[in-house]
Amino acid sequence: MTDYQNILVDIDGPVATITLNRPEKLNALSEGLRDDLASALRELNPGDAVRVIRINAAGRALGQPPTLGMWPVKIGMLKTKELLFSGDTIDAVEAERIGMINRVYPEEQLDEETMAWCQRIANVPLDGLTVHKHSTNRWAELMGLRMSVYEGAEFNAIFAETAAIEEFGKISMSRGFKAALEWRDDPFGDGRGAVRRQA
Amino acid sequence: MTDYENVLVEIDGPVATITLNRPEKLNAISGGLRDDLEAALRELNPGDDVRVIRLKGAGRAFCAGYDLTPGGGAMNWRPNQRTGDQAWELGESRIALDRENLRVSVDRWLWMWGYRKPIVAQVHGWCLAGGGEMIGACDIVFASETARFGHPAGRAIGIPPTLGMWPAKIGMLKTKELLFSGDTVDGVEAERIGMINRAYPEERLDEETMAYCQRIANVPLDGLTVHKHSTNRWFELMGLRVAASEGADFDAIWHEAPSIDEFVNIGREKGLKVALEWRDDPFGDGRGALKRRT
Repeated sequence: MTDYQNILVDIDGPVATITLNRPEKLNALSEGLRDDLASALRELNPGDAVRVIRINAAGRALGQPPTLGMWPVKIGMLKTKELLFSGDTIDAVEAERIGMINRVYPEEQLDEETMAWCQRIANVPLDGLTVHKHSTNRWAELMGLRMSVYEGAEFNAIFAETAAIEEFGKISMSRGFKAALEWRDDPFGDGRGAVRRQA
Repeated sequence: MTDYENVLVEIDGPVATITLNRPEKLNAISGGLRDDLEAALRELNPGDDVRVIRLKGAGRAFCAGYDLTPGGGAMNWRPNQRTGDQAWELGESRIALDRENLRVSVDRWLWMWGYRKPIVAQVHGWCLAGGGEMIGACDIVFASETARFGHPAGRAIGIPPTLGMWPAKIGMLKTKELLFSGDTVDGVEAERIGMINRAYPEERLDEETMAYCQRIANVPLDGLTVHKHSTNRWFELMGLRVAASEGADFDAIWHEAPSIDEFVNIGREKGLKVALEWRDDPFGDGRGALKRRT
């Protein structure tokens, strides 16, 4: 495997682990990181010796909180709007409950459980795994998933023209990024999105 | 703000609360109530001083459905008028006129669904039939744990043409389960299956809903609109608008069934209450049994 600047790749039998490796930036998605991730996936694509890719992250966090992503198909209309309108965050237990993630584990078991599951599905031949994956994807694609993602770019471009974005940029330029985040989040009375979880 | 006969509007900073105000009718959707609701929304649309709409009901219930009482104005079937012997003079069929009324109704719900400011429903008590369509057109739904959701009218009268967006919200299995039986679910179960966002004890519902509305009002309106419309677009691309419109066609087909003639006949002769008993007695419950897993 090539050596990458922003990620690490480790192959263990049929499972390749890609580790995002910009821990000092909480693995924020820089262009370099995205390039490296895409290159590593291309490099791991040929052949069926590697059948499953695991993505994890070095340091304290896996990337920045996703934007709209594929929430509508995963957590539905109501929860997507609830989270977008408020900017609040949820923890993994709630994320599992609403269908944003598959399973939640205590942090000390996470690595082992994830690897065990990857090794387990690697017992299925690659062509079979691909049929499972693409036949499921096709349902979402026929519901408009690809078009919806493209339209997300348009909506984001509209959002980028709003006065709030301009103000955020000005504050960031004159007083720094942290001050801009405070300006954005202080009215909500939390650090970076309160944890909303029902008891 | 204009004074409306069927709704109350109260503005508290960036949040406007619209209260359905026909408590003696459990806020059943009459022509007048619907007109007033839409007029209030139109009046609240310009500007960004008001950024969030809260929608609730006065009295014992959020909304019991369409107003089926004579003169209620929810159903406007015009009689066929034959004016001559030529084919085009024989008058329109009932199904065509019914379908047109239903299409107009669906378009009105879809107009509300596309409204640019977030609409947050606060539901307590009954939320049946047309009430389900109303919250289907809202963006966020908070309810009391004891609120009751369902479509008992599906036992004999028809479907809610938009299906309250149930297929998109609660999925294929639960949509059919509730439509086939006409049973209702309470707020706790409605939250579990994804029909609503959150259920609260009734005494906290008002405060929690208002707190959420005020909280999201910290986001500028143009941003809220992008959040709303970019999420809506996913479901529109899945066919939501067309599927909702087809609901009018299916409902018009149902309305040709003998069961609805019988319901209307009983209602005309013996009153709406007796007709409802005729519809619900075989199910052994009042107005849709509470189906909830323990």
